[in-house]
Amino acid sequence: MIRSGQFYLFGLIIVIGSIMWGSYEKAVDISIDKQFLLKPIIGTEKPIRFFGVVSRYTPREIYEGYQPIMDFLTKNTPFKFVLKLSDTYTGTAKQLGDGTIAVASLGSFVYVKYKEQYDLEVILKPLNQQGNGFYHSMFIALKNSPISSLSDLKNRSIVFPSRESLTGHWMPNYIFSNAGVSLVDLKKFNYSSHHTTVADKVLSGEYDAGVVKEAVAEMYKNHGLKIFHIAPKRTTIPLVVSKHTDQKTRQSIMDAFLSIDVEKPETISLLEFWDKELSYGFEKADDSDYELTRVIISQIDNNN
Amino acid sequence: MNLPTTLKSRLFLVFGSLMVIVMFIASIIVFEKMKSLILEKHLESAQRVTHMGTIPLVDGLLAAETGGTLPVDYYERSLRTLMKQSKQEILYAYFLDEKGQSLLPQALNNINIINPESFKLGTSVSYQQNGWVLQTMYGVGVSTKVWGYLVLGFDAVQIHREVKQVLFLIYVTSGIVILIVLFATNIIAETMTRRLNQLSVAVDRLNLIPDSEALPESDDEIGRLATNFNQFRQRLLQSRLNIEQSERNLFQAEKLASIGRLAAGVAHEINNPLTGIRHSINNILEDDLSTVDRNQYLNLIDDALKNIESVISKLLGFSRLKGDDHSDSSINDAISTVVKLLDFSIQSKSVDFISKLDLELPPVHCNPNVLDELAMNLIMNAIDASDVGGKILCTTRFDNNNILFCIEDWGHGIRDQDLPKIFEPFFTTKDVGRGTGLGLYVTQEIVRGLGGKILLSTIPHPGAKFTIKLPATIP
Repeated sequence: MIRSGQFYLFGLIIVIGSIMWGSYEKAVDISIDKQFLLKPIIGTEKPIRFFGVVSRYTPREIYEGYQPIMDFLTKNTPFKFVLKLSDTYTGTAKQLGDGTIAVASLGSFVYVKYKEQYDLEVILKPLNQQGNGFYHSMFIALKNSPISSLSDLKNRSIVFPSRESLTGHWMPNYIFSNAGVSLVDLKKFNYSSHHTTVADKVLSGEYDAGVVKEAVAEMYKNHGLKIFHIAPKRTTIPLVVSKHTDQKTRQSIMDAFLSIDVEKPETISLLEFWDKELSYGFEKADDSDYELTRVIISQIDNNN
Repeated sequence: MNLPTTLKSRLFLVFGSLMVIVMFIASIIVFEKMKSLILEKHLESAQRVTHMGTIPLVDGLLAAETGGTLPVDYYERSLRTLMKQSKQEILYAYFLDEKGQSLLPQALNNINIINPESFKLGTSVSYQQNGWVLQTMYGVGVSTKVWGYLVLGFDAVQIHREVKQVLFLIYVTSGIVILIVLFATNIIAETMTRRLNQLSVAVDRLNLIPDSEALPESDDEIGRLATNFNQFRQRLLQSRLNIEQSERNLFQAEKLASIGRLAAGVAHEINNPLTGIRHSINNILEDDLSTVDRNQYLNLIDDALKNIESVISKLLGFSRLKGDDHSDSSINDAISTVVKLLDFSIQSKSVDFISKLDLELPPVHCNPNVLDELAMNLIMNAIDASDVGGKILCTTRFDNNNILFCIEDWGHGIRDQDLPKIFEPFFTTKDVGRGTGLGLYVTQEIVRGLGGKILLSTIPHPGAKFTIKLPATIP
């Protein structure tokens, strides 16, 4: 009787074996077809407005921090906003002046410097984490660096951001005023195009210290850098339009930014991807907010 | 085609089939999982390469946007470098917009020719003209800003080969596992059923010989079954001994009852010589008796006493328990002994008792006591059934290795309604005190014990004919 059992089993093995053999080619078929989901390009039907950003960061970093802002503006205004970069601070001011761009996030120094020349008008300024329109320039060094005050900078190397930025323009003079250390007392000093590259150079040990804006210092604090001195507060970077900017564009930008409620959960998740300097909301600004900055610049220019 | 009926074949079939099916399903699941892992691994690697490929493209685009100057063939060179450095062979590379149009300047778009008709945007593995191709696609951009898409086509022949190797390995492994499991199943089934077969054979050959070998016992279920079987066999053996003892008691009771029924005949056999003795003694006591006459009377007394002694001896011989010893016994001797004991009954009824005994009859190997009992019961029943002046025919003969012993009477016969019951114990149609109802029952048991048969015939004449067929002992 065992034979009949074996017969059935043998039959079963033959059937299953046939199924497996028959499905061999299908089994080894490795075809996949995943349709690439193209991200919808929003606002294609809207008129384009260019948004300039001074070269405070590298182009990639500017796209990372500002493209979400463009998406926000495109979604909340009648216009499609497109980033327009420049390799210098001045270049962005010029673009604003000649009408290439409708609005720009300028540096305070560039704004004060070119306001009259290009008929610029500040409309908004970002708020800091405390809800105020101020920021600080900060002195940074490696965490294990012996530098702990401005006076320690003597015979040390230091790197500043672009001379077209307020920090880069003002801080050399500030060090002399507060610690009596002039540029000639330094072992080495230099300017770097962007705030983030300043931090990178200190972090890599190329320079003993550096000066960056508050947002960048905070960003690098957890990556091996310490803040050893904080400069006095100044008005946050201006959002500027020019005479070429039409009223509708100007108003819609203001409405969109001023409508941001940083307390709302959906807004918090939205702002998470924005440049940190612009992610705590905005308030209206006018030229008088930058008067102190203008005075500082004037003093520096006179001293030089 | 027969379905398997044995436990072993069923075990083998069920476990084997289950194993084959389980292995088949497991093979499919494992293979699909492995295939997806292999594809995932290669896809991930390819996507990583594609992502890396987007970096110089983005850098170039950003540099161009901020007014930087790029070499004329910057993008093409970037892609060619990528193709050269990639561990996976890249068959083609495209930098496209979302509509599939090349974003490279026309002069640079010589890496590959795009056929928009057949080209599909997306990630895929497909069989193309040159074999299997893994195509990946990655957005060239920063954040939500996308300038275009980098599409790379990798040679996927190695992936296909790996998948085939895995499938082959799984097939072979499954086959080996199935064979091992079937082999193990066969051994387990064999082990389990061998002991069951032993039990089955033991049950089939069940004997109640006290010193026969018991089944091996163990702690498992089959062992416990064997234990229970041994205990059952022991109880059965004890029961059989009890029954045998009861039967012996019953046979003895029936024999004693037969002796009681012989009492009248025995009394007559003894009474006649006693009368002669008394008459001879009275004559001897007379004084004028000559010595010759006295001696003649004394001889008569002696003969009479010998007759009495003979009758008592036969009676004692019939009633005595002769133990269980078996020997070659003659049915003819048993018939002669019984006829002598029943002579008075035969004579008193004037029955014509005809004996036709085959003197060449071979012996029956048995206890001689049981043949006496057998003959006594059947002849006594025939006498009881016969009317005065009736006829009884007693024959023995040898036929085909069997001894045939027939008692045929021409008496009142057996009623039809009594026929099914005549061999039942305590069934009798005789008057109270004249029969125990055990005669035919005991007779039947004796015949059965000797391996013979008892046949009853009530035709063609009134009366009955009992035929006993016993296996002969051939010297």
